[in-house]
Formats: sequence, C-alpha cells, structure tokens
Amino acid sequence: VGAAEGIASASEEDALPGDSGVWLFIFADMCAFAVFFLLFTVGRAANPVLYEASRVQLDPRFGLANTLVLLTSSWLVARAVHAVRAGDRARVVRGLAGALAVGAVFGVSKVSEWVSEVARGNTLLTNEFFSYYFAFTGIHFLHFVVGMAVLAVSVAKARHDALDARFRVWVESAGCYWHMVDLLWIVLFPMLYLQRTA
Amino acid sequence: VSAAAAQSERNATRAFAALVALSAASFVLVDTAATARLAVSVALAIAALKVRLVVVHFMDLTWRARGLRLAIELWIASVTALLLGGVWLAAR
Repeated sequence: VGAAEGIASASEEDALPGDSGVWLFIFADMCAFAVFFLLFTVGRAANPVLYEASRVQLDPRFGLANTLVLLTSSWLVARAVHAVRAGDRARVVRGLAGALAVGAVFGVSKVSEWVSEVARGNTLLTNEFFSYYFAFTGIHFLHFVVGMAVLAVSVAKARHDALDARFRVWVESAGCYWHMVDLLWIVLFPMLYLQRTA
Repeated sequence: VSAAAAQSERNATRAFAALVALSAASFVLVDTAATARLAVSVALAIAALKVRLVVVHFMDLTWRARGLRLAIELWIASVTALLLGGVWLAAR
C-alpha cells in the first residue's frame, strides 16, 4: 500500500477507490501506453501517406463495436461496485457476471478482427503502422485477458465471501483496473481507426 | 443506500449513455465530415472527454485523492495535446 507514496499521500489513500498499490500499477501502465501513443504519433508524422494507406484497410466498425462493448462491460462493473457498497449481493454477482459475459464479446471481436487482417495479408511485419497496430492492440489484449481473469475470480468471491470492507476494496480495485482497460481503448480507437488525413 | 450513493449510481448510468452517444458521434463525424483534420481533432477531443467521464463516474476518482487525480488529469491533457499536435503539425 505504501508503494503508492508520491502519487497519493497517506491521508489521500482513504479517498481512493480500491487499493493504492493497484492505482500505482494502473498509472504506470497508463504512462507506458502514453509512450506508445508518442511512438505512433511520431511515426505517423514522419510517414503520413503510409499510415493513411494502412489505416483505410482497417474496418472502423470493429473499433466502434469494441468501444461500445468495453463501455457496457465497464458500466456493469461500476454498478457492481455500487452494489457492494449497498451490501446487495445479488446485484454484485449480476453486475460482475454481466461484465464478464459482455467482456467476452470483446475477445471474440478482437480475435475476429486480427484473423481478417491476417487473411488480408496484414501482419506484424507488413509495415510500421501494422507493427504498431498489432503490438498495441496485442498488449491491450493481454491487459484485457488479465482483467477477465480478475473479473471471473471476483464473481466467485462475490458468491461466497462476506461483503465486508476487504471485499469492497477487492472489487473497487478490480473495477478500476477494468476501467483502465476501457480507458486505454477509448484512446486507441480514434488513434488507430479514425485519424484520417484526407 | 444513502442519497449520495444513489445519485452517484445515477450519474454513472448517465455517463454511460453519454459515452455511447459520444462514441457513435465521433465515428459518424470522422466518416462523413469534409474537413479531415478538424473532424479528427473533434474526435480526439471527444476521446479526452470520454476518458474523463470514465475516471470521474466509473472509477469514482474524486479530487479528495488530489495527487492521483492531478496525475490522471495531466495524463489526459498530455496525451490529448500529443495526439492533436500530431494531427496539426504533421500536415505542415
């Protein structure tokens, strides 16, 4: 918990939803993605024609659908966190299980999109744009997989554990991590799919 | 359930509705607008607004956790400035 000193003071930790150590991880991860965004922006500025010719090969409907799916899953987690605070076990389980089910749609959609890109001949080695596209969405997907595992554990815990302060911190922490997965996609969506030059 | 908690939950649901609408709006805007740079800039500004909605209404990160909230706000501002800078400077 003390690891987050420098971002949150001891008195501020009480105001944090979830565990401050998880927040340290979340913020460090967001900073790592900010470096990815910098790399992409510099690459795009140096070679806008290549980036645009590559971008138009992506199907932005996948990007939008994935955005809506993650937003819905994130909202269901937010509802589950509120239910934990209200001590309503049925709503907690419903919210987390719903978030897990909707989240699975993102996994199917993302893999389908990758398969269609590879079938079109676009891989990690095609060019700089597609290297970044597969690397960034792949790293994001790893975060998504971890989040899904945490959500699955949370559903099991919500069914059996006491809805006490310890459990509240667990669900708030899991929720904030899941919202980070959503938040990073919110930036990746316009950056990769919508940045047209003409 | 306190009135504040109920209000917070209602705000999260309103934020969700706004997030869905903003996502669809940015998609349609970039797809149909005649001026690419302006449309992309608006889409990136919308993304920044969406990130703030998630931070405030889903993560529940208030200004009571001042250090972290400030760090996140700076992250949003920096990433948005970076992406907007890329859009406007690259074409010069």
